[in-house]
Amino acid sequence: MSLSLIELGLNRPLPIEITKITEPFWEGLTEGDFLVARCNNCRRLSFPPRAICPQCHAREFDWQPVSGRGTLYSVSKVEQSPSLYGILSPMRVAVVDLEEGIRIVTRLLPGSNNVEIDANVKLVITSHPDGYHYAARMDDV
Amino acid sequence: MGAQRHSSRVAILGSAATPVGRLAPRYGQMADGLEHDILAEVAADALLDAGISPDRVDAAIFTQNPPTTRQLGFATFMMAQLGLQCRGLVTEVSQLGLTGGVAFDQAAAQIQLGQAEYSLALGVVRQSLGDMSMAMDFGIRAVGDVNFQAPFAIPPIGWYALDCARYIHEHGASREDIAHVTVKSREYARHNPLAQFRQPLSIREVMEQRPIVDPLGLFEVPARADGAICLVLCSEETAVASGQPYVIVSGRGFYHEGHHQISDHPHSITEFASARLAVKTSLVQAGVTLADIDLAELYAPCTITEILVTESIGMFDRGEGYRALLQGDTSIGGRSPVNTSGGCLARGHPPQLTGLYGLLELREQLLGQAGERQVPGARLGLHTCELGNYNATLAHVLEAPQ
Repeated sequence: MSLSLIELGLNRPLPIEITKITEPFWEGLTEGDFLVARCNNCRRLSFPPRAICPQCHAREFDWQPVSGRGTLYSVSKVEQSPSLYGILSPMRVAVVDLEEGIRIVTRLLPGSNNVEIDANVKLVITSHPDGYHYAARMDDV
Repeated sequence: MGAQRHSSRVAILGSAATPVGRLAPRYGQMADGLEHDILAEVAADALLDAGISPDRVDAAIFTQNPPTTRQLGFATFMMAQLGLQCRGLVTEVSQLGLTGGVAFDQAAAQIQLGQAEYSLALGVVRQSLGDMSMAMDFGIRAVGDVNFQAPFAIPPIGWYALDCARYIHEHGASREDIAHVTVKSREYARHNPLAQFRQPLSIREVMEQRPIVDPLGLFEVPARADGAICLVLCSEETAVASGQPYVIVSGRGFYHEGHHQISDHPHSITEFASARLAVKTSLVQAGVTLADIDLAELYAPCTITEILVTESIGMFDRGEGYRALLQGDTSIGGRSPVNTSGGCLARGHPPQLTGLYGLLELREQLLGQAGERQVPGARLGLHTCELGNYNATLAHVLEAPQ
């Protein structure tokens, strides 16, 4: 299931070091998927991707796309960011609980007048001059 | 209790500290000294306070300096400043907000292991002239996954802001209710000569400040702060024999939850499990209950953090911490005084040293030396420090000798 793609003019805020462990995730973004890792042994879901499962220490994972549907667990607006991050301040950050039972932290894109905790949000893929990233936005946008 | 427990207890025999604030020079002015000069004088004062000569010190555990300090190899360099020859351990420790507490914990362990007769827990922070963007970058990378969270530039206080927004949502508190922590903190700090901010504030003045990390404004988050502090530790027997005033470390607890900031598997961010568990362990070891505690110094960089810790350790029920605050329970004269030093928001928050300044406040209170902020008859004090979003907590119970 493909997530919405949103074009943003700025580069991603920090250079991202892609590794053999995380490469499938970043590749997934280019195809419209937000992938989480499922432990081959105990079936625990992990995000971010890890070298070993923190629950059983197995080292083999499958990849599974999430639906992108979730709820806003908490939100803040950070008024100032360090200049080297190249972020347009202020920026809303969100703790999002995805319906698969995974919690992530991400940026909350503007556009909604109803930023309310426990309301529905959806994950989106963001396209930057230097590659793809991800964010959330309220479901009413 | 029996002699065995008695013999393993550690005492704080001496202390010295600079006021929290600014140790860096004003623009165009000459510095009083570099970090090692400032700390050398403070350590010498602490030894004078303890009444012991430098050749009695066997171990020194330093808090690692922030990246603004140019002198590296700091702990070993300091040995040359202080002229100390140690058979125990000389090192520096660093673990985010736990740092000061870990220095104390390891200095105490040196005594308990028999590797030192006297040990020092000490450190200096002189960051107030540092580049703000660099400091923010360090903070962001310390409190989030560098590839998957740091790109969203959440500073340490941003995580507490997320706690605050959730707490307001869950319990119907207002931002103003929570901001009263700052007003209370300033009331205590008026009477603390070591405090960074000693002017009282009204709730209106707190609420009028610009937002920093919504829902927290300028006075609801800590300011940049410098400081230097040294505590002198020894065994309880040595302290008794010295004839000097001392306090005893009667309980210690630690817990790490096994995640950093938040887990990828949902859990409450308004309840700090590590604080509950570490404090429980420390109370059991001290042989007391929370009801016996006369005052608490709780590591709380932001207003909301103090409320969440008081609830997490069982001082108040969940969702009741802000009501207890508004009723004055944690204020001067209240039934559960919290952060009588003024805490991070008024005493000030040089992050690596906050744990040591909190322990110093308990020492002064338990020795009856806290002046107008004195909790009458205080005999038992509880201290916590933490890292992450209270993902790990180190707790100590301090006791005045009978």
